[in-house]
Amino acid sequence: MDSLKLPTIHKVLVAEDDPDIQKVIRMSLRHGGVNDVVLTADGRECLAAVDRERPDLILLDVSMPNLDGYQTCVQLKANPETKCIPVIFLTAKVQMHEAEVGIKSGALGYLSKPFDPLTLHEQILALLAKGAARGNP
Amino acid sequence: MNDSSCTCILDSLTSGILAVDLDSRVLFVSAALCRRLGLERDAWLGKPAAELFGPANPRIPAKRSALYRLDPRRDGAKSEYREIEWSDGNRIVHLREDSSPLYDQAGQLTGRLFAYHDLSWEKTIDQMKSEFIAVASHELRTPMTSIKGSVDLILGGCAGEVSSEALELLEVAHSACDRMIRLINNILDLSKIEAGQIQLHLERIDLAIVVERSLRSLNALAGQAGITLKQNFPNGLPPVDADRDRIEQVITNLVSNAIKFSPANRGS
Repeated sequence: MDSLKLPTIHKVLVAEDDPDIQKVIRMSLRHGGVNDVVLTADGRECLAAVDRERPDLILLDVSMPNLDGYQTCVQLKANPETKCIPVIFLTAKVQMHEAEVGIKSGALGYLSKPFDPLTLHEQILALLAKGAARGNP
Repeated sequence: MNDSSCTCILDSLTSGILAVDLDSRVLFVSAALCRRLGLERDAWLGKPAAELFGPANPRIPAKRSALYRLDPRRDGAKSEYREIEWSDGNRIVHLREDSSPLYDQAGQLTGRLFAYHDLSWEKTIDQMKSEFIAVASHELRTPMTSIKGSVDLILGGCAGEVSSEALELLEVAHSACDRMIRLINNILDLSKIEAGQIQLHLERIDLAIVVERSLRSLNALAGQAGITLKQNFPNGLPPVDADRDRIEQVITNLVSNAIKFSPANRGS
């Protein structure tokens, strides 16, 4: 079987409204070797930043002011310019039906809060590998 | 007491009453049940209950057939209760159905008596409780993410070196965080179980591996209590279809309780 080429993560765009969790996510990603982390506070800011930043990955919270994570993901996937950027939810909405909504909105994966900050990067890579195996971003 | 007085008494009950004879024909239906289900009393009397409730009548959705289930002859001596849903296609009414045999004055079985209690309010309260727990779980997870994340990053060396004393205190905080998260998860699980929303992910698993994982996570707790955990599996233990995480949760809870409630220093 041909080995799949995994995407490399250099820049991550984060949409998270809690400033404390923003810090934890940034340090977790840095711990995993990702130094370019762009922080936004809601879905609207995220959509505004995505054209400018062109990230390799977007991490989305679900409950955010202005535009929630589900709607943000739908808009990202509807835009030909951004639909190929993998989106992963990182959220405290942990119920099965909530995860299903997230995946239906076009996300690659769904990670629950609280998360292990020392393995966040590995969990992201594992989801990217699964996505690559399925052939979707 | 004459029939008219009995009817008045039964009509004054807030619970719905239905009586059928041995041929399952409707003998009596109370005003409360007629009101709750929006049906005409006269239309019910003398008719086979199966016709009124059964799916044979195309105007009546199949779910209504759940209202009438027991055969008065076959199930004559049984008293039963259960929760049911009644629907006329536009609305759903949650009811508790109690049923018991109906006897005449000579003690002869003459039919069956059903009492229907409206559970709509209880269902509404249940729904509100589930929603509250889901919101509380979400609201508690947010600060827990910051606390656990910060503590774990410091423990992982991401914030530079820390003294051994600080490290020890951080380990305490880390352990308490994990415990708090387990408690939040358990509350959410309990709510899901009560609401019948728990979903199991069955897969072929090796029970020995699951037990080993559970015991490994409890070794520290057992050590503090002066207890040694031992495992002994029979040879050729077959794989089973189960939800790995849930089985691990069950074993962990059982052994953890056994550790907590066993006298200290009892060996293994």
